[in-house]
This record gives sequence, structure tokens and C-alpha cells, in this order.
Amino acid sequence: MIQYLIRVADSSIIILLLAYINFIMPSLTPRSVQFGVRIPPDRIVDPSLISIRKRFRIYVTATSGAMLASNLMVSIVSGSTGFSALFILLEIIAMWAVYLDARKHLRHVKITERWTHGYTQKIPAVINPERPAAVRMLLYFVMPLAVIIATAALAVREYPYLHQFLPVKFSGSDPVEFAHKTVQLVLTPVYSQLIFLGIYAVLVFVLCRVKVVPEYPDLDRSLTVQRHYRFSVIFALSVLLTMVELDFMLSGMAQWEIIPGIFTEFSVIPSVVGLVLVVAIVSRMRYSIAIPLNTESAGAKRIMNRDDDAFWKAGMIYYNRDDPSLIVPKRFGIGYTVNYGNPFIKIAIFIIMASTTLFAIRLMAW
Amino acid sequence: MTFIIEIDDSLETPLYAQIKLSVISGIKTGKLKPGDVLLSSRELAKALGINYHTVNKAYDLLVQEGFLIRDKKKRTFVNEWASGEDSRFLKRWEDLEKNLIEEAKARGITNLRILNIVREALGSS
Repeated sequence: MIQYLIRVADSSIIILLLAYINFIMPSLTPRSVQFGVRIPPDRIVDPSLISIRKRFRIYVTATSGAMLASNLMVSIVSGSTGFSALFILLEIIAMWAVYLDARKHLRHVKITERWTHGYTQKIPAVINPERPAAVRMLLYFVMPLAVIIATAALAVREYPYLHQFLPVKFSGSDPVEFAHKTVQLVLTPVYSQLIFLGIYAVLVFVLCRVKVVPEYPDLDRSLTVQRHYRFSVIFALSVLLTMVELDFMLSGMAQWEIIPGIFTEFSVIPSVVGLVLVVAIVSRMRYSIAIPLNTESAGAKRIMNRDDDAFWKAGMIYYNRDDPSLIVPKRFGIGYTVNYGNPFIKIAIFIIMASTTLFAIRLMAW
Repeated sequence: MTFIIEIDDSLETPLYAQIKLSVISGIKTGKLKPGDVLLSSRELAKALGINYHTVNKAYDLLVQEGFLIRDKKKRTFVNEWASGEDSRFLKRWEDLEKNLIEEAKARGITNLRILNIVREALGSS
């Protein structure tokens, strides 16, 4: 029963988080790119844009409410949470559809009302960026590393007193599967923690090198906002990683019988808490981005960032053969995407598709 | 202090020339200081979303003209002598100027007109 309730709560939280992220998304994206459409500085508070934004939020709320209600209803009626993943998937698809609808309307208004007419379009870039200090970057690793060290210390302390056979799988509070005690088995949670730490390190490395795009009319301020945003994402991921490491620590403690096996059922709670914290930390940034802008002075210089809508297919897929970037910030949404026009990405996609197909053929042959 | 260069791909001036002029302008205004490390050609091409060879051409010219230097690790710096007087640069600049004046005279532009153009350019910089 507890298991069932936790799973229903988890899926409902994920649906609510998706809804919340999409609801605040227009405020999280750069002011000059709304719903994946590049707009001039004096159109940021245009009535058409405000109305499109309002309609987007109404659709997001309605769709998410419907998905949440359906998830709860189906879970109660069927007594199973098997359909939760389906509702989460449906919500993601619905959010895309709502985004594409808003983008279509905004593009239509932009073209028919000739928003970019009379603007000089420029491409700005920082030629001598400040590199983040190594000490500052190391600080982001302190929390997850502390959990890993604590887990490893517990494993070493408990090892001599553990039974010859250790539980590796639980059903409720009862162990259902055992394995012979080995150093490798006891240290499994620590290895998993280290793998996640490695993934985080790669992410931080990539995030520090993703391109920053200064925005008109205030190039310097836009850079400061983006820098803060980047460090917020890195910090939020550090919090999430710490929570995931705590999950592994709890699982390890259950295996080493420091805590009862029932705690493995609760071991995903830190990850869910981490996810909530990530959304909270990242969404704080919207206040700095959403500062009201004096549109008269913004449009006075008649300079805007180059209209690059044509490089974004369906507002989501970046395809620019001339741009050597592999990774670029998403046009709409948190995070980053790849440049499909880059030959390396094309090769990578080909290799992934070919190996997946070969793997599928091999499976079918068996 | 960071320095932002701006290019406009709708202008007739080639992109490499715009990049070159932007860097020179940064040095002139003191926003780019001697010893400042610049993005590599590839990184700047990524930042601008343009072809790598375009940026490389601009950098090569700036290195040739003594505004930038490249070290063994292929890092690009603003030259210590970029903002000072350089006899090599002065000679090259004088040659260029003479050629431009000859070209203008061949096309019938008067000395007074040439002087006015130079005065205007000096006044606007």
C-alpha cells in the first residue's frame, strides 16, 4: 500500500513539475527569443505577444490538470500505477503541441506586422570571455563528494561485520534475493555514485563551454544574466546529484542492514526532492530576466540580434551548417541541444542509429 | 573587462574585415589591452555562428599586421606593441595610403576632396 501511494505521489509530482516548468518557461527564456521566435527589443511587451503568452499558460494549466486528474483516476480505478508513464509522456507531447501553436501565432504576427522592419541586425560575441575560477568550480563538487566519502567510510566500517550473503533485492521490507559478500558487491553503491559524479563533471565541463549570446539592447547586462543562469544550473545539478548520491547511500545502508530494508522503498524520495529543488533554483532566475524593460529606449537604437529563426526547424531543431558549434542553448526550454548541421553530429547520429538497428536485428535473430 | 564584437552579415563589407576592424577598434578604445587572451578562431566562430575560416582569415591578417600574436600553444593575444607606434606598420600604412591616393587621382578625385575625406575620417574616429 505504501509502495503504491509513493508511486502515485511520484508520478503526480512529475506531472506537476512539468506543468510548472512549462508555465514559467516564457519568463525563463531570453527576452529577445519568445516561443522560439526572435523578436526586436521594442516588441517585448507587445499586446499580441502578451496575449499569446496568456493563451499558452491557459493551455498548459488545462492540459496538465487533465493529465493529473486522469493519472489519479486511472491509478485509483485500476489499483496500479502502470499507466503513469503514459500520462507523463502524453503531457510532454501536449506541451510540445502547445509550444508549437504559440510559436506559429507569434511568427505569423511578426511577419504580417513586419516587426523587424527598419532594424539593423547584428551578431554580437564576446571575444575575450572571463573563464570561471577553478576554485569556484570545485566548490560545486563538495556536497556530492561528502556523500560519496561518507558512503565509502560506512562500507569500509561495516565490511568485517557483514553476513556472508547480502540482500540485493527487497520486496517491501523483506529481502528476496541474496548474493555472496565481496568487496565489489559492498562497494557497488560507491561505484554508482562515482559514475554519476563523472557524468556531472562532464556536464559542468560542457556547460562552461557552451556559447553565450549577448542580447540587444543591453549586451553587458544580458551577459551577466546568462552567467548567473549558468551557475544556477550548475548549482541546481549539484543539489540533484547530492540527492541521487543520498539515494545510493540509503540503498547501501539497507543492503548492509544498517537501516531496515523498507527504506529502499523510500530511497527515491531524495531524488524527487532534488528535482523539486532544481526547479525551484532554476525558476528563481526568472525574476532577474523578467525585470520590466523600457521598450522606448530599447527600440531607440533600432539594433537587434540577427533574425535566426530560419536555423530553427520547427522551433526545436537547430540546423546551421556554417556554425561550428556542437552544442547550443535550447531555443525554448531549460538546457541545451545540438547543431544538427554540424558534420560531427551527423556522424554521431548515424553511428547511434546504425548501432541501434544492428542491435535490434541481432536481438530479433536470437 | 570583456569586449563584445558586433558583425552584420547584410553589409557589403566581408565578415572577416568586420571582425578585423572590431578588434582594432577594441585596441584603439582600450577595451582590449596588451596581453589579453582572445578566443581561438574556432571558439570565436562558434560564438558568432559563422564559418571557422572567416575568423581565421581575420586573425591571420591581425597577426600579420602586428595587432595580435600567437604563441606555441596556438593561443592568441593582443600584442604588447598593438597600440604603440610600430615602424613596420607605419611603412605598410604609408604604402597603402600612397596607393589609395594614386587610385583616387586616377579616377579624377581632387586633392581637396581627398583631404576632406581624410579630415572627416579623422574627425569621426
